Amino acid sequence: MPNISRDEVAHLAKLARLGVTDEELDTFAPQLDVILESVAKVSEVVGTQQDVPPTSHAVELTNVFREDEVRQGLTQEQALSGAPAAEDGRFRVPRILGEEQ
Amino acid sequence: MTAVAETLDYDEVLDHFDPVLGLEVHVELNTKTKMFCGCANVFGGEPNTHVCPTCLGLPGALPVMNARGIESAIRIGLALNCEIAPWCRFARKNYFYPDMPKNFQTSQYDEPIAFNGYLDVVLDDGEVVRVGIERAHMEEDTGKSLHVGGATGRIHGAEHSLLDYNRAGVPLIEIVTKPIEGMGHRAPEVARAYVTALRELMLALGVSDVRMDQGSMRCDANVSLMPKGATEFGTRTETKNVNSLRSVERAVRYEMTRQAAVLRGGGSITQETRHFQEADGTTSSGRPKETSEDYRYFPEPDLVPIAPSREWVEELSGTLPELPWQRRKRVQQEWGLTDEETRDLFNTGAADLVAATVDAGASVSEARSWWVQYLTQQANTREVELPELPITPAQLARVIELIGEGTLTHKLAREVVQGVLAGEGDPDQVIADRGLEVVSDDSALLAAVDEALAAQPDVVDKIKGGKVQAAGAIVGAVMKATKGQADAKRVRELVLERCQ
Repeated sequence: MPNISRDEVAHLAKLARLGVTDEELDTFAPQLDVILESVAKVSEVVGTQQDVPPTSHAVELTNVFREDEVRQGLTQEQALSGAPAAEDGRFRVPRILGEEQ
Repeated sequence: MTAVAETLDYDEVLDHFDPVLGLEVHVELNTKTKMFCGCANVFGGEPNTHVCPTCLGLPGALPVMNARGIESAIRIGLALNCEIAPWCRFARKNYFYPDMPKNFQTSQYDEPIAFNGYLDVVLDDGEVVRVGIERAHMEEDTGKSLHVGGATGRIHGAEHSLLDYNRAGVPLIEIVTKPIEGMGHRAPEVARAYVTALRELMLALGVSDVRMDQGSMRCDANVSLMPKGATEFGTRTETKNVNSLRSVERAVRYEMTRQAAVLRGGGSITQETRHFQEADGTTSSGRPKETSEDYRYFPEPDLVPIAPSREWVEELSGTLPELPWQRRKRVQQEWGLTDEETRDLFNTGAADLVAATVDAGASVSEARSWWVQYLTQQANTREVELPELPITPAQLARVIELIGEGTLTHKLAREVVQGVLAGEGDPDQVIADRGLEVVSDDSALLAAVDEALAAQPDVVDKIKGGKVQAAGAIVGAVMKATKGQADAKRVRELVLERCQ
């Protein structure tokens, strides 16, 4: 039975770089728990049938490839057109806290 | 700060500890396009000019796998003696950082395309070490960040950062070794030799230009120490930013001495990422390593699985070129070289050049001697790689031909080569311009010989008295007078004739 703790939600929020208040944690933890429980019901349907492998794609396709041929992409102007801020042809982002990844 | 020394003497490290290495090498493939979209895969370029909705992570854009990228990954796996997965998938590695516009990196997690192989690595003294390969998996490169406002372009103190996504989505293969144990004091050398061998392999396969200076080959070195005789590995650190073959060796060596100092001082090693400092050869602390759980990997739902058929894998296996170690063995046999000669030939990177010089008509021994010795010295002096020296195998073959004909002595030949290196044209041009031909005209030589004999009558008496070795003094004088352009052997003959 899923039972996501307040601490786990806080940890996930940190990984997602989301600022979540204490009150929000109190709200979100039980809500997420409801979602997880609902999803867990799918496993119940499968039940003891061990021959149903986990699926990552709805259609049973493999090897969908494209040839290694260059296709025209966006211009710099187009690429930056939706950016909140740009400088010297680059996307400008706020100061990055922490270390280089 | 504590009073503990920062590093321990290297020999002392080995008295107490056994090092264990794990090397992760990223290789950028030289496909024409990126891994999941048709944007050009080229180094540099105006920022954000090789981008599209897919590699910028714009909503609704869907990735499609580059057939050539998959093919290269399989060929690399085969060359590393790996098993090729009959079925595997890409996975999302989730983390939030501006160089990944999608907020996840498309990578492979528990289903790598190639796994469980090995690479035989030749050390400097010719000893062969087999390095186990854990896996080779496919992923994509990130964009490039530029930190503005900091003193040194580093992230610390920066006011904001600028992102260029030209590199985002470029195909990468990450090759991970199994733990490398039992190497003792040779661990740093093994690390360098492994990366060197891997680099040669990629070049032979033609899958990457493997330029460490441009980041198309990058190495992360995991190092840990365990007390001598222990069987359980110690806590490891992962050193990044190791951007040359020499740095690989230095970084491993430094980490061994640093960790040993911490452990001997009663401390413990923090599992973390460290950065190699090229300038002084040290490493500095980076971020604590996130656990793989924090990346919340899951199968990439936008891509279908890859299932290389047995036929396809066999076909690709047939495209593998002669691999570096096979070539080494063949060349050694064909040219009848000793182990040491073979090692020097390949360590100096002269093998291709010698082969080309031989093709242009020179003998193996002459060609080898010029490239491995004299020209390698010249390359070192100029701090360039041997193939970058401005002399072609054909030009060198001509010089060797002229030596064979007796037109040049070895000494003059070096001058001719210097002229070619200085951009004075082909060997014949240099000889004409510098007037370097051997003086073989006996009448011209005789004049110089007579002059030298007249200047040293006591020597003449000695020679006439049977002391033939005294002729050396006269020969020396003649060589000096002709500025070394005479054939010393012929001069000697003439001196002896004159003294009969």
